[in-house]
Amino acid sequence: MVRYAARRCLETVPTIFFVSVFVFALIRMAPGDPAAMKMGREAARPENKPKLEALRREMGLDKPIPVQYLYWIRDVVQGDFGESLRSKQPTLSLFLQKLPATLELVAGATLFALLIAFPLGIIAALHRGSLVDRAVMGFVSAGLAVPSFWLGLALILLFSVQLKWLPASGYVPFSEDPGGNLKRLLMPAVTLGVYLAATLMRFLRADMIEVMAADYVRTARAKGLRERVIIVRHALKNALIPVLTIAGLEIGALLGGAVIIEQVFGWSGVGWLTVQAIFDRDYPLVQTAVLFVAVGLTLMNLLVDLLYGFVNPRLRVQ
Amino acid sequence: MSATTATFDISRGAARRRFRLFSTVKADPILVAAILVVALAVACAVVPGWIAPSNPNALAPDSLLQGPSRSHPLGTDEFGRDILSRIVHGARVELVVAVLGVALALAIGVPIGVVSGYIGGFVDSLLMRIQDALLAFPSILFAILVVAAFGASQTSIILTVGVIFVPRFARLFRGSVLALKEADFVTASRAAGASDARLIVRHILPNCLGALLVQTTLAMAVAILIEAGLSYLGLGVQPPTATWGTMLKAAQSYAAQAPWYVLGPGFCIFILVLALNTIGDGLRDRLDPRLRGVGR
Repeated sequence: MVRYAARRCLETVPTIFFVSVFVFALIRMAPGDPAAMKMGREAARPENKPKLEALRREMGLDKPIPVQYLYWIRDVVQGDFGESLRSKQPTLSLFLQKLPATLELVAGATLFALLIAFPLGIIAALHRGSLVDRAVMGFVSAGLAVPSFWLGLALILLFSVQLKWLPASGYVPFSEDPGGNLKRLLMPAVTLGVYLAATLMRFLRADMIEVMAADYVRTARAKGLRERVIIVRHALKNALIPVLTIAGLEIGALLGGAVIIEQVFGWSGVGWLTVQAIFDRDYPLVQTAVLFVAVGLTLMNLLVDLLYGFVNPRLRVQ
Repeated sequence: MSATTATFDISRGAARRRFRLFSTVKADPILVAAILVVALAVACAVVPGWIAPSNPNALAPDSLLQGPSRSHPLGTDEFGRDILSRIVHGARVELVVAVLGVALALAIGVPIGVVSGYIGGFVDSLLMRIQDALLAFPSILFAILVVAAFGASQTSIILTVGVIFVPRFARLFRGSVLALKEADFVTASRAAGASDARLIVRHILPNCLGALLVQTTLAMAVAILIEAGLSYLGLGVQPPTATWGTMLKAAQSYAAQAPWYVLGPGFCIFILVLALNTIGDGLRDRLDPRLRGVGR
């Protein structure tokens, strides 16, 4: 297990290196001179030319691109992610301010997905071909195909415009107004969670069908165990591992989906911040946000793999 | 086994396959419906002018945001343009993005996967770490990087889809090559003196085609969802070009007064993605009998 864990940890180093190279290269390809953008309108004046040149040197823009990359990495490792061009604040603190809202949205979506996927996926597997099973399979197909923002708009039309039960959009921190926060969380979390719920249901159902046909379940039946005990203790426990791995890996898809959902519901999280930044051409902010999310997901995948290796010994040998 | 029995076996296999294809149509009407939906979308993309009832960009200031009527079956938008015609013309962008994006991903991903699996060692590790890095980006965030570098356009979306699916195809092919490399028929061919190139092209690749077909179909479905999402954010195809995503973005502002405007384009995305997913799953069930009926 130690060797497996060490190997997986080591593999993560080059992965993070390539992530940072992609982020750096694509942002560096953005049109415009970073120094001129940092100076703002002043940069266009001819008399400011020496000042602009000085700033370019200070930012290291006169050096070759690989050296610029190393400068950037050095700063990032020291916790200096640069300043936002628009608000002149450190991009890291802007990002961290918005992170709790996005994490709350993702957690809400995951909770919703788990709450409906588990009972329905298991019931569908135990009663294959029944009405419930068909309804579940219908939900799975629809959930995987529906554009999330369209579903969000439909929910707003129904629950905010028609029934006036829920506020259409906005975000208030939980600490300021717990009730208002949860009320506003409901629709975006459900919209975002539908895709994950469909994915989980699909795998849970398939795994349960497979496991219920396994020899050890037949043995448990032959021993005369009650069906409930067989399902929970023997079948579900074994069907759970792949399902939880998938849940872990789908967090990335959830974060991507959150970018769109935050826009639909005016939920001011990380995705909302990043989309604003791209419209403002605030490239340092885009760079920080994307780097943070991608590296975070890489570490998340590592964690999932380590946990998976822990529960599934077969994986460690390779 | 003599040559005659071998021929006999092959012809029987072919006959059985034809029979199965024919029975499919009768046994699986949903799959047939899905194929018809995709065919309709392709027709709209190729000859939109023959199918659309009117000009998709014709403005009509006297009939803004009208509900469905005989002259405008799906109503009109905020400039009085016919929504149905814009949907029909929008199909081209969806399919171009899906086909070119996935083709780009195949063109890069398949060679990477084959090389990685066949050569192994350091090259394999290096290539796979790059794929891991690409997989770490949620697709929409990677698209934002591409838009930062190249601006918001159809080309950027194709590029995004192309790059996002590279690791998925590369991993698929790497896995297949690793499994097939040691297969008896490949070893036999190598013993007979076949070159590496011949082994890959004649023996290994044809055996991956089934999985490739399935993944291509499913990837095209995701590509359409990505186009819709990006255009909705305003990071995709720019107005006035009609795409289903940009239509939805515009429709959002009028959702309360013109719900049919939101309904049309969204439903089309939904149905086309559903159809592609259904075809992908159907192909998988047929190509891999172990999965039949499990619905994974």
